[in-house]
Amino acid sequence: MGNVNGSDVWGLAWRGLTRRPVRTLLTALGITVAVASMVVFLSLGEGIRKVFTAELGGIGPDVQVSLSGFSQGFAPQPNLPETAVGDLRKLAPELGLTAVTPVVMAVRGSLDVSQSAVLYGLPAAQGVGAVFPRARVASGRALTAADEGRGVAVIGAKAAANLHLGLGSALNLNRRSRVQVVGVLAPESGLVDSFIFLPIRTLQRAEGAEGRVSLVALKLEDPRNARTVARTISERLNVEAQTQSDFLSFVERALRISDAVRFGISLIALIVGGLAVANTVMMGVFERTREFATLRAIGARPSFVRTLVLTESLLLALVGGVGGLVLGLGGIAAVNAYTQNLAGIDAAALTPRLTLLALGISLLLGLISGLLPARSASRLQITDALGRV
Amino acid sequence: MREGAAAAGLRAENLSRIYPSGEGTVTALAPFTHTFPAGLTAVVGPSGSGKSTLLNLLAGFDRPTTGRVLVDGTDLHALSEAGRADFRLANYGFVFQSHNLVTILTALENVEFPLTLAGVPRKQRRERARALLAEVGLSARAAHLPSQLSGGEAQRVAIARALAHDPRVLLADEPTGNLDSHTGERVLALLTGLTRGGRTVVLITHDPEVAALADHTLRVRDGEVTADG
Repeated sequence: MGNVNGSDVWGLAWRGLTRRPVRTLLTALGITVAVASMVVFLSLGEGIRKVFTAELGGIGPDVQVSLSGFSQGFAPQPNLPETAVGDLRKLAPELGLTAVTPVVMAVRGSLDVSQSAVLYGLPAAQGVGAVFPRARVASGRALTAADEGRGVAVIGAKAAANLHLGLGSALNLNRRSRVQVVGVLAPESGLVDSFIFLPIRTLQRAEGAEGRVSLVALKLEDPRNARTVARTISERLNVEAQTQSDFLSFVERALRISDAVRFGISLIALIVGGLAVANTVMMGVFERTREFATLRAIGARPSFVRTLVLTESLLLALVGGVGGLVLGLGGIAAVNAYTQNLAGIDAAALTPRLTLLALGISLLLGLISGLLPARSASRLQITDALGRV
Repeated sequence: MREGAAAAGLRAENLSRIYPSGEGTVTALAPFTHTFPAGLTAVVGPSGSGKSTLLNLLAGFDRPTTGRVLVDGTDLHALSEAGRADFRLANYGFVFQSHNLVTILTALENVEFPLTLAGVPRKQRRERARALLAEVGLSARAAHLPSQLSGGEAQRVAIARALAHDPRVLLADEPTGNLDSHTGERVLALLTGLTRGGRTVVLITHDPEVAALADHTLRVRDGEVTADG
């Protein structure tokens, strides 16, 4: 490039872009939309990671025992024989288990997402606090031992709002089973807000799963032994025993796959945005062939022209990228407003690494899009180009 | 104008340019040898005679078929592409038929552009550009874009740009070709003044009246170059 000052190149590139402000703005908008869509898509993964790390990681069981681990997802089928609960209680003194809580989970699905809820059955005598110690009853009462097998429920704050339920309301679990709400939990800004807690026998009966549970949640005297305890249980009882960190790494694996899928979708928009940048920069180069030839004639090296065009392309992509981040923030706020209303969680988050990724991808896009126009501009023949009007 | 430019010793040795054409060739410039003395040399001839080919070779824009161009003993065409660019920046000034100013830069920024390329600090190059604009009588137009200047004003800005780094050789290709006679005379007066201090000015023209102002004349016809007196 010779002796040209870097700030002079950036200044010239900016002037070059503002020469045709409408075209530049439209191209930058293309990048903005592409980057914003990528930011919103990927922010979903980031937000869900945060939720699982902060909420479930902090309050879930130390060890979770099920028949097939996390392969069935968040709410496994009740297919673990209940006899496993007795076996685990026998091992409690040896392994330092302070609580053994059988759990039955089921999803109350609906085409309307806001009408869906997770049904969580656990021994009424142990209550919600056995697995979620931070849960507090805001109105009504908690489950008691006398409730076991009866048609009662304690519901999370968000589930109450979404399903329009209050104390005394009736809730249909399915066509055959109906329960009455006896307590509503205080909002926790977590997944628990969307849970409906039932006595375990009630849910087993409703699901036709008598004698079976989805999982057994274990609390340990010393949670640092979780991995050793999980391994021992797996070996002795022929079941899957997993720790919180197993759960989080399962969530992380699942999120990575979904990140890849969402990034793949964003990639289409990014490619279209990149082509728009390439087109704009190429048109700019073609329009300024004579000008570039003049610069070369008066002493600009080919590398200066190449750098100038590449800088324009990078600048254009960077402006679009920053715009994309701002627009993406708006999108994230909209997503979170929706998911807060739905489940009491922020499902999307703009993390530092996502910010860096968005800016990095924008610059990469600018670099790739600018390569061909820059090469073309730097290789023009002065005599031919000066002759062109 | 500043008068520090010493004689450049611009010399063409056995210089020619032959283009392939179909199955044959076209001789745009037949081999010729000439030392351009200090002062104003007019290269005259009708359109298509080879004047611009000669200028392109002297400037290093095009490569000769035979021969070389020497400036103070340096063979211009033996240099790399980047080397020729650096050499032009240090030793040459150019004035084109069309002013060829950078449209997004003001008159002042256009004049300082060669100094920008040379990495001269902003304050220094601004001072030099202001002085040059004052010399061509355009101080008041410093902040104007080329689109806001008349043809004659733009050409005077181009001359100021050509002088920014005090070049030893100034090559001008029909610099009055697009101007009316009155404006053309003013531009010519500027150009003839540039030879003071031993600068070599090569002026391509097909206008005999313009050629009459020169210290020396080269005539080009059908690619053959001959020197007057």
